[in-house]
Amino acid sequence: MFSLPYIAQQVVNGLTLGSIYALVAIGLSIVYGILRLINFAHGDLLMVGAYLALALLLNTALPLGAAVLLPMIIVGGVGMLVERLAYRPLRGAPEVAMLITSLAVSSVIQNGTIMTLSAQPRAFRLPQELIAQQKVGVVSFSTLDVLSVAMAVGLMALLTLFVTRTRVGIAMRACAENLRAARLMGININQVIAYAFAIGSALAAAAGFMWAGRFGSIEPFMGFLPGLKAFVAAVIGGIGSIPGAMLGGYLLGFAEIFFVGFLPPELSGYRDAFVFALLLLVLLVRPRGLLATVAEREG
Amino acid sequence: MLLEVENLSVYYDSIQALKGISLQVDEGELVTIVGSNGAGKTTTLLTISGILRPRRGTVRFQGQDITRLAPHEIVRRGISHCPEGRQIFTGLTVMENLLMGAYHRQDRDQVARDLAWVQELFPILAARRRQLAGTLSGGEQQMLAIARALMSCPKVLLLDEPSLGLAPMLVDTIFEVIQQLCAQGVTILLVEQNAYQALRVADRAYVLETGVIKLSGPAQELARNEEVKKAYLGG
Amino acid sequence: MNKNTLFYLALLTGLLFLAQSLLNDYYQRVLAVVFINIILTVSLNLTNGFVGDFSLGHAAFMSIGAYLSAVLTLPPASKAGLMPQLPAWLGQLEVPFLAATILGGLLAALVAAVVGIPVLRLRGHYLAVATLGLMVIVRVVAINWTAVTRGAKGINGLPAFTNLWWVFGWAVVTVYVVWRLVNSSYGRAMIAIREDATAAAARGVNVTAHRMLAFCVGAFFAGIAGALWGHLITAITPHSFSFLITFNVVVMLVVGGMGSISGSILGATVMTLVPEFLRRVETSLSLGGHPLYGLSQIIIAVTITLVMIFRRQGLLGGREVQLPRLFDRQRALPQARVDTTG
Repeated sequence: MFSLPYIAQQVVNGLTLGSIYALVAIGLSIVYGILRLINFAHGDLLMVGAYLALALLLNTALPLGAAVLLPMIIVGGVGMLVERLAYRPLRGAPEVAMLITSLAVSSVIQNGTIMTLSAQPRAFRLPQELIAQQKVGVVSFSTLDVLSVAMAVGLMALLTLFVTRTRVGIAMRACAENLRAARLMGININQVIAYAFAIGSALAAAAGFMWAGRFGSIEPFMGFLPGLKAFVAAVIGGIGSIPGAMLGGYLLGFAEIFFVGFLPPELSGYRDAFVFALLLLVLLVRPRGLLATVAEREG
Repeated sequence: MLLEVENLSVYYDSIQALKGISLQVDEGELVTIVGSNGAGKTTTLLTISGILRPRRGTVRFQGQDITRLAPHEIVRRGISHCPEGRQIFTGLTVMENLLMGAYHRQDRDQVARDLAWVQELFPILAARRRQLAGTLSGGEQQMLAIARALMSCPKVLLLDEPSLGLAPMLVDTIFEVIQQLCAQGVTILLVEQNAYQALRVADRAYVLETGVIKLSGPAQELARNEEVKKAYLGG
Repeated sequence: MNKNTLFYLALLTGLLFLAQSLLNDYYQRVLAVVFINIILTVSLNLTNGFVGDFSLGHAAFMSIGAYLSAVLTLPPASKAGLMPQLPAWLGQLEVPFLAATILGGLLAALVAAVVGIPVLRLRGHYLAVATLGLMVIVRVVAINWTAVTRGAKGINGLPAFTNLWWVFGWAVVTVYVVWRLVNSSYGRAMIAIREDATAAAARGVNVTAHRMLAFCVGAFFAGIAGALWGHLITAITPHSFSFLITFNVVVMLVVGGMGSISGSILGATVMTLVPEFLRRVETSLSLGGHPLYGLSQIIIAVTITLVMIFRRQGLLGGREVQLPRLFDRQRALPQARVDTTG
């Protein structure tokens, strides 16, 4: 059987991976909540964040914190820009039009990166003291793991404060629930949507840093899988709900780590397949997710 | 004239919902639009608030053309719309709902005073201000919807079917509140299927039928009109 | 089939003979890809255009069709060398190309049915994510199930069975089947679902069954296209059928106009030839020394965004173009316009 330290180690791993999924899932979920848009370009913003962080690490002497924060700000801006240029002209259009556009935006971001920086993977090396595994008690983890979890939790706490304590944050929840009523209340929905994209994109950039640091290399298509998996996380938690996205992110992180850690090693190559099989299963037994707020309409 | 609608034509795709209607609301008036289901009453209100775009015609407010303004601009100018079916934010608390009504306002003191005022108007909301709005009863939700609309400090309040789906006793309460608001000087444009109650409280009324205004005049007069009686007041 | 249809089929056949004798290998291959893309686009139109669900599963279904047909058509001798771990009965099997193609399509349809059960109970757009997930699942299986798929190495040396006649024939079959389906009571039910699923259900349309039918028929032809593609290129890997293929088929569909079969044919043709041309431009252009790889995809993506913003209905706007009737006294009646944008 599995030893207790081994199990503890898996929990730690699940926590780190779950933090990344949760951060990406939040952005998908708030945008879906308001616009009913499955933003396929969201994962690509994670990629842009990772590339920006790499550029800062390689070319500047800025402290590490800046290499996390600056990409968040820039990518937040990029997210707003994408919304302004590609999605806003489609306000009121059928959902499928926005969906197709988000596929196109994803293609533009990926191919733009290929065109300017080539499709070759690049090494993403953080300072040794960040990624070295340290043994504390029975489990080992890197400083990056600790920072990732702490940062994710911190950002989620800030977001929670934002959506419960500020005018725009409350309006964001109101928009997610009933966009027309929100407009009738005098809420400038374009402004709220811009905020939603900025916040979601910034969180994706933070996740991009963590993802790149964890795997040590980045490439233009790296955002596809975490983006898609984060959507699974959002669906598990109940898409449209911010606490749901957080919960779903961590559940998915744990599920994936446990799948690899506790099942026969021959199966570990199937981990990505497992994630999407899980999606199908969740859709089968609890189609609205665990903490659903979005009432799903047929058709 | 505070609010003037002129020759308004609205289409849903190729179906014409409003066929060139005109109406006016003067300062301090309680005006009602009565008509059966599908006559275009809600469409009229949604067009005034900027949610729907008319193909022809204009909406003027305080003499200015507001036809093409975004909904939030229209609210800012002083038109507040309490929508059909209440449409409160069920996942927000009662207090958060009220604050959303005052979203565009910067005058914190006045907002605080209005908060006190609407809670005085609807004491039940004060008692439940920390509760999620979805947990309120139907009547309480309607009161919240009206209170939320009042929080934008409107010059005109558009009320869409406030009595819809309420028990008869609650209907009376809601109409009392409407009269009370009117007495306090709030201008109201009321849309109702409950023509009996609406004509009882209103100053003037319009009868809307399949996108056309069939009759208009003082509410008392219309209440005595034979056609109106037959069609809307059950004989 | 009436005289007109036969005439146009004969005309196309003649042109194809001409193409075969006049065009060089490169252009013949491009033409074959055009027909494969017509199969893909017309079949995707069934779910995405007529029922109003949004599937992104075509790459996954192609992959399934390609792998199964490859395992079936490879001669036992090559299989013994390439895939020694294959079960004996499968190793001995050599199936004719037509049967292998059809079996590939059927397996794709079967997988679609299994995936469809959980997903089609929900709103259409979950299908988008679930079918992309299916693509990941199929790829992971292709990478890990080495006994049959040879893992990441992929299978090469497939017999080059696919020629212009096969792709043309299957394109005709696809168009015919989809056209018949759409113009049957099933098709009317599908359009009713697209316009208003609740209203359709209220009128007694079995919404889930019709969505399932469209999804499975679409998957079947995607499997066929995958099999044809595999035997055209003669090599397949787990990464042959990527998201890019799905995206490009969606582009063809949208450019032609969702809900129009002739639009799909037009869209597939235009959006195969234009990027092919652009790709040749792209390699000859350069910026500061390195070629602008990716430029053609960016142009396609920006185009599609502009189409979505300014001409959402696509080139044909959901209408069908009718070829002029040559053997009929009675003039073609104008088709009722089916609005797909609402």
